[in-house]
Parts: sequence; C-alpha cells; structure tokens
Amino acid sequence: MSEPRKDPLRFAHSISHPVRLCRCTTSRAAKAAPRMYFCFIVEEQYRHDSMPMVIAERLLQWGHTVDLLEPSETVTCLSDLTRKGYDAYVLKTVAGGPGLSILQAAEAVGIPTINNSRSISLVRDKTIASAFAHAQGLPVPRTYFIAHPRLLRKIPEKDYPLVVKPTNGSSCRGIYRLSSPADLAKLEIAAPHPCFFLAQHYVENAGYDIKLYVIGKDVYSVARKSPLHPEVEVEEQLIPLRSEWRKLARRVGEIFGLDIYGLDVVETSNGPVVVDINDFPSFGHVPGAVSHVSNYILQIAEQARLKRRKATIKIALQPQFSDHPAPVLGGGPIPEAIARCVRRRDEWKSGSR
Amino acid sequence: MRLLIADAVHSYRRFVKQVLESTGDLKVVGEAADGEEVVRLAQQSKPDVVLMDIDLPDLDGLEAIRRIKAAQPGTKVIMLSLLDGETYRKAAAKLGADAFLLKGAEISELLSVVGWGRPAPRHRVCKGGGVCPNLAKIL
Repeated sequence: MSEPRKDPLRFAHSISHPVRLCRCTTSRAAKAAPRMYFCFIVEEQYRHDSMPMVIAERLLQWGHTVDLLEPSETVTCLSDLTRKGYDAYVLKTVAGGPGLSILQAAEAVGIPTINNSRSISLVRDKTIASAFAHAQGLPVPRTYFIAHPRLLRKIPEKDYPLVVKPTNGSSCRGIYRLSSPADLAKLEIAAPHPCFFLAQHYVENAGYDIKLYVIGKDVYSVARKSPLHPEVEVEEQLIPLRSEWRKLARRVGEIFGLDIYGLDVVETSNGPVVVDINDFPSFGHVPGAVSHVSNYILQIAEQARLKRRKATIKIALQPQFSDHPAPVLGGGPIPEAIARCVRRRDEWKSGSR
Repeated sequence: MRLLIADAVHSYRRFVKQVLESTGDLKVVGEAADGEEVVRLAQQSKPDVVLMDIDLPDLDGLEAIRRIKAAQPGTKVIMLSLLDGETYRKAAAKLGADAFLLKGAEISELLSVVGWGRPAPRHRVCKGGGVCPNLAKIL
C-alpha cells in the first residue's frame, strides 16, 4: 500500500482552507450509521501515497464527510477549530512535519485525534521512541544517540555489531550495519540534512523483519525482507501470528497510547526484539485493512461523540444552570437533548409535571 | 505427525515449516509450490495432513483437494487463505476440506487445527469487512 497513488485525490494550492472531498455513492449500511465529519492532515511527503488517502476515500464512500488539510499549503485558522465541527482529526505524521502542531491544537480544544499527539510525539523521533521503550522495559536493542557519524568512533567495541540509522528515517532508508570499528573507515553515510543518528546494537536474528500491524486490538504479522540481510529471500506476505508477537504489539500500544500503529521486530533466540515503531503505517499485505482502519476510526470518533454528549447533558443538569437558559452548543442532537432535560427540570420545578 | 505444505511462496513455506517443526512432534515431509505438485507429493509421501493455500498456480487448491481426497480420503486437508469468505469456505468444505484457516491466524490456532495441542475454540474470522459498521448500535 506504499506505492504511489495512481489517482491522487485533489489538493488545492495557495488556499486558506482544507479541501472538501466530493461525496461518492453511499452504501446502505452507511446510511444507518451517524454521519461523521473528519479532517485528514496530509503531510507533503504522503500526498501521493495511498495511505492515508485510501482511508479518506473509504470514509467518503460510506457517506461521511472528509476534508483534506495539507499543512504546507494551507493557512489554518486556529480560532475556528471548534467551529468547524470535526468529529476527529486524523494524522499520518512525518518526522519534523507541521501536521503535528495542528493535531495538538485540535486536541487542546477537545477534538478527538487519531492517533493522539502524545503518542505521535513519542514515536516520530526514533531517539525518543527508543529511550521511552527502553525505560518501559520493552525488548529493544542497546541504543546510542549521535549528532554526527564521526562520534561512532566513541562507541565501545563491545556494543558492535552496530546498526546505524537516521533518527528521522523511514521506509528502511539510510540503514547501515557495522560489524566492527574497522568498518568505520569505509562508512559513507548518505543522509538528509539536518539529521542525527541512532547506533543500535545488532541482535542476531532470523534474517528477516516481521512487521506487526495493529488496528485497535487486532494484530497482523507480515514477513519482510531485512535491509541488513539482502541475501535472505523473503516475499512480503502475511504469516501466522505468534502469541508473543501479539502480546508485544499490544503492550507497545498500551505503553505508547497508540490506536493505529505498526512495529518492526526481529526474532532472536531470546524472543522478539522491537527495532522500530510507527504510527499509521501502510498496512501493506493486511487483507481488508482499508475497511478495518476506516471502521476503527469511525468507532473512535463515535465513542468520543457519545462521551461529549453525555458530558454536555451532565453539565446542563447541574444545579448552577437552574436560573440560566440551556447552553447553546451549536446545531444537532446534543442541544436538543439538553433542552429536553432542562424543560423537564423546569416542569418539575413549576409543578406542572 | 507427517505434514505436506503447499504454497506458491517459498518464504511462507519455510516459515510455516519452521513453526511446525519447532513443536518437536510434527515433521514436514514435503513442500509443493503448485497444485500439480501437491497432488503428486501427497500420493508419494502419504502425509497425515496437507496444509494448502487455496490460491495455487497450475491447479487451484480446490481442484487439488478434490484429487487428494479422491485418492486418499483419510488424509486431513487444511485450506489456507489470505481472505475469508463464505464462498471459499463452502466450496472447500464441499470438496472435503477438513478445516479452513486464514494465513494470518495465530500459530496456536494453526497447531490445534493441525491436531497438535488443544483444539481451537473456533476458526479465525477475517476482520475488517467491507462495510461501515452500524454505529447506531453503539447509540
């Protein structure tokens, strides 16, 4: 699912508002469900990728409304965030991208986000993710942060072999393996600037990576060729899930607070070891992933909507509102419910009921 | 217990073989990459269980079940599929398949369907169907 999109969704340049996607056909099932309103923050790097755009398209097909916001091309009015009435903001982040700021702003004013900004902040920089995972007791290799490749010389020889990778890397790019300090002489790192690096102890493994994709509680395992073992033939495909992989994947989700995520693990003699964590991965080779992720986003947004509704009704029924008219919170069923409750309360007070 | 694995992808066969043989009680006696090969190897090696992808080249998995079951009715045939679907399940069952399992199923489930360890409570059901959930139910 990481291949370039053949039919990219429309983006407008030099605009000041998100682009509303046009609604397509609506399925019968979607008509029975409440209509939801989403804002997809699409970082420039992903505007031609299938993910997350296929999710936006699917939600649209199901009759929901989706706006696309490209942070690098859009002026976002922060004063209007709550007025927009979005049920949720959805972000597939890129390290250093501006999307996270908007997501944080939305979250700060009480709009649900997928994933939440804290989780995204923890995983999008591999330095933070690695330190946090280690501190939480997750099985991760011993890792060093280095601001420049010349500092590799200072890493103790006992920690070799090393895997060197950029802190803001993605898609297995810019990963190098050093068997011993002698390899430093021939190391030529081609990395984007500005860029820092992680040097991780290489753990002996089966020679292929296992990508664990998680949607809520559901875990899928996909075998993947390792960039460090080009000699091992692996066709990327769904494979049977080991129970320890499922447990590890769910634990990562609980610790980082992620809803939709992926982790790269390698199988070692001591069990699975986590080498990378991503929010909103491609879900390549996961059957039905687009519908499953879309359904999950709808569930989160709906639960948040219900929570808001309950909270608003609770506020309206509090005694301090007794001498005030019902609060006005915009159109829709929430004010109606409040008004009904307030009406009943007034009827009780006046004795007409 | 002797097993035969049939899947077009070599790395998938290798992974499943590794998993099955790690139990110590199961032995993979053959690997086939297409439908013709699995039928031939089933007759030659007489396995107890055949684990077979439904989507095989040359001769599809459904036709392969029919031929294996016709020649060796006592051999247990387990169909593996990337996608769940009532049509596939019914077709496989009609031709004599003993079980139908998704390729992404848990290993414990695979082992119990094969007949190793505790029986599986139920076969894994594919998640992520094609329709928007009726969220009114939550309301």
